[in-house]
Amino acid sequence: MSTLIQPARLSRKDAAVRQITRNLASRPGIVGSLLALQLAGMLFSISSSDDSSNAFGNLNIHIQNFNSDIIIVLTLAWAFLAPLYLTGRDSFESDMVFANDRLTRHFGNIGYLALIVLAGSLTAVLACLTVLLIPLLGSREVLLPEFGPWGLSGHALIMFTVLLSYALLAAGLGYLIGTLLGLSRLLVIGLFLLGLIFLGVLDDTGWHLLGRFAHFLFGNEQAALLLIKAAGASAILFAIAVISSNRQEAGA
Amino acid sequence: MIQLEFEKAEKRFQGKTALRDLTLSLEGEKIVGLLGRNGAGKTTAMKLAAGFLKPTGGDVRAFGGPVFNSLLASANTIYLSEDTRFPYTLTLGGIIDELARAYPNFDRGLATRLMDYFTLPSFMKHASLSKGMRNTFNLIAGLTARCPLTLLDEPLNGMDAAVRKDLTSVLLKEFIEAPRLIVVSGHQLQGLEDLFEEVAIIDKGRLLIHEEADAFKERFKRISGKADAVGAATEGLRVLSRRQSLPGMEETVIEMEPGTALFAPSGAGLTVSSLSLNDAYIALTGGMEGGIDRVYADTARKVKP
Amino acid sequence: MINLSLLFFIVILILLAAPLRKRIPAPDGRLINRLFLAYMAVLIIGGISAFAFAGSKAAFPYIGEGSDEPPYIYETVVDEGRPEAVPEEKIAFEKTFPYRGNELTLRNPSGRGWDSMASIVVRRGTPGELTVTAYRAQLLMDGYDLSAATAPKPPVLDQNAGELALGDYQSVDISRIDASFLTVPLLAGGSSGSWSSWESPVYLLTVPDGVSVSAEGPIELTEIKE
Repeated sequence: MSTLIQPARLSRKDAAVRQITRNLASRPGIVGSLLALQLAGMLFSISSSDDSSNAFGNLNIHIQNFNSDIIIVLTLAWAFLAPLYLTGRDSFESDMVFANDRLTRHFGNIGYLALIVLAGSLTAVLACLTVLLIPLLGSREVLLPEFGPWGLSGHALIMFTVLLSYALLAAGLGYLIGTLLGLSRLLVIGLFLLGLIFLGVLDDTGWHLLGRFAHFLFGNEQAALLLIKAAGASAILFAIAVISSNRQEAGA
Repeated sequence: MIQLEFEKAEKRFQGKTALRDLTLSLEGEKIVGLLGRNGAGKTTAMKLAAGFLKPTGGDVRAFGGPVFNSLLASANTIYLSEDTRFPYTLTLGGIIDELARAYPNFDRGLATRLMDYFTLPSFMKHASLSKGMRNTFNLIAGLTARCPLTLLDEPLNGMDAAVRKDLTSVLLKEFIEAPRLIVVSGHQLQGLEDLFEEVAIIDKGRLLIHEEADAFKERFKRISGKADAVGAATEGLRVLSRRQSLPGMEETVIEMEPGTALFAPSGAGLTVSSLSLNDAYIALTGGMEGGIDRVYADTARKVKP
Repeated sequence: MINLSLLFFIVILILLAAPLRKRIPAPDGRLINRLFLAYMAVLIIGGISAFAFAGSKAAFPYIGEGSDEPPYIYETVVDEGRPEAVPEEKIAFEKTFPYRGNELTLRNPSGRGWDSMASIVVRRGTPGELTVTAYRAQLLMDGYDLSAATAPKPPVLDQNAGELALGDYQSVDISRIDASFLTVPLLAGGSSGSWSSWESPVYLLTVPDGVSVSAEGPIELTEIKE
């Protein structure tokens, strides 16, 4: 029996949610690289503990230092690089095969990034904690850093909040750069050079824009305040990316 | 009723005009052939219709508005070509899953059966398929998505004759099962041409002809016989191509005015035949008179280019 | 500091695996997502375990980096000759031996020369008994008081030879966990790896009257005059 096909209506929300699930299903490289980098980071953390010996009179102190910052650094690098892949021309063109407009694609991508950056920050902090099991289960005495009034849990929470803030910023920056690169590489180089000249001129006049901005963003005494500011700043970066590429053409 | 309209659409790429002043209206559930030589602007027109490209001038509209960056148009349009890039990590089965999620009318069961029939294993990756298999999969995906506007760019490229035949049947059955506006572009469409209700021919970025396929075909005749008899019979007619088939023998393709008939003089030994759609558009959009034979003849006679 | 040999190994592994990349199909997104969820589950268990063990492993009390330990043990015992003024908790141990000899030689391991100086204050006490009192010198690292682990080893008395060997070098093994750089600006107690000053060991030796005491090795010997 013949059935006439009627045009289907698709809400922006549904299209964006489908873009998120499609990213989860079709871009295993992003989550896979996070997994691989954090596992590598854990390996580095465990194997890179450096030994030092101190002699005090008739006292010898051997100290094995454990530091899991490499997990954080790799996670932040990933948060910057993953959006570059997500916004690449190949990704854009394969996204446009499916029911999408540029806005819903961006919303879906940003939602997806927010989700994996959240998960990545959480796993990074958990990985740092898990690495602690090596010294904690060892036979040596353990010297924990002073974790502040809320102990290790407070420390972990602050770590998570700060890492999430930085990762959101890195993701926003990566997304903007990736989107602009998708539009024109020359544009990115031009903007970069213009930005440098602009900042240089401002610096010469004694108005250190970057420094002021960094102080505004990072000069907080509370992690929650940093998160709010970082989320706002990354939202601006995402918005610039969305606006600048709303006319991007596929297969041009 | 679905309507796809190009209104003075123009597309330029870095100063080079790929499509100019294209005004074309396709309306209703039918299969339309968008024909043209390589570089004529077919793919650009298809991508404009799919909303992938933004017209430099004019307008391309469907579903009540401009198609560029329209979610409604995108949700009801599928464009597939040989160059379509599906996410390279997805298997064919995964692509079918995603298409089923994206397009509400997608017939997953049919897609799976067709994939089985054409021996396209669902675990394979799209990028690892041969050109013919990739186009087979794309055509299956494009047709089973059952979008009101289905755009198939060069869908039969690289396929062997048996697969072309089967897929032509699939196209027809799918159209009967779920009528929609299917635009098929290309220049190697043998087998498909009988399915076209309308043809639109683009040449050098401009619309040359848009009319019903049968009427278009009927306007072109091939007259063959002795050269002087053919010459006499075609005098005053619009000759599109003329070539020497054998020494002293000639074959000429003519285009008649719409609504006119051709009466060949009897007893002159002339043969008048109709052209296939493919040959008709080739004759219409062909290069120099005499075709490739003329090139060789000119070379032999050392005529300066 | 990154373990360069591991980095080298990983780079070699990636280079070796690169040609196989096209032969091995890229894993499906769902598989990777499931692996990631499994990874997350393992980390949650790991993280909770770390919380549990960290509580039980907190070996040293935190005093704070700013708190300067008063150098009063040396000052009080050696300079001022007032060992009774040192509070109980500053005494690492007190060991009494029966002793009938007339001479006593003190030995301190001299492997590190004068760097391993011990200060011994002699005072006269009960006949027939020799008491060694060792004081707990305070050692702070990152504001943590390591004194519990750094008390000197007990001395060994050789009755026949009349020799009292002070404890050998004390070795302490510590696993030190650095706070993440992320939290340093937000937590006052971030670790800086700072050490406090360290006093050389101070012993109080109570010997019977008439016993003459001599020292061998890096020992600063002082006697409290009654």
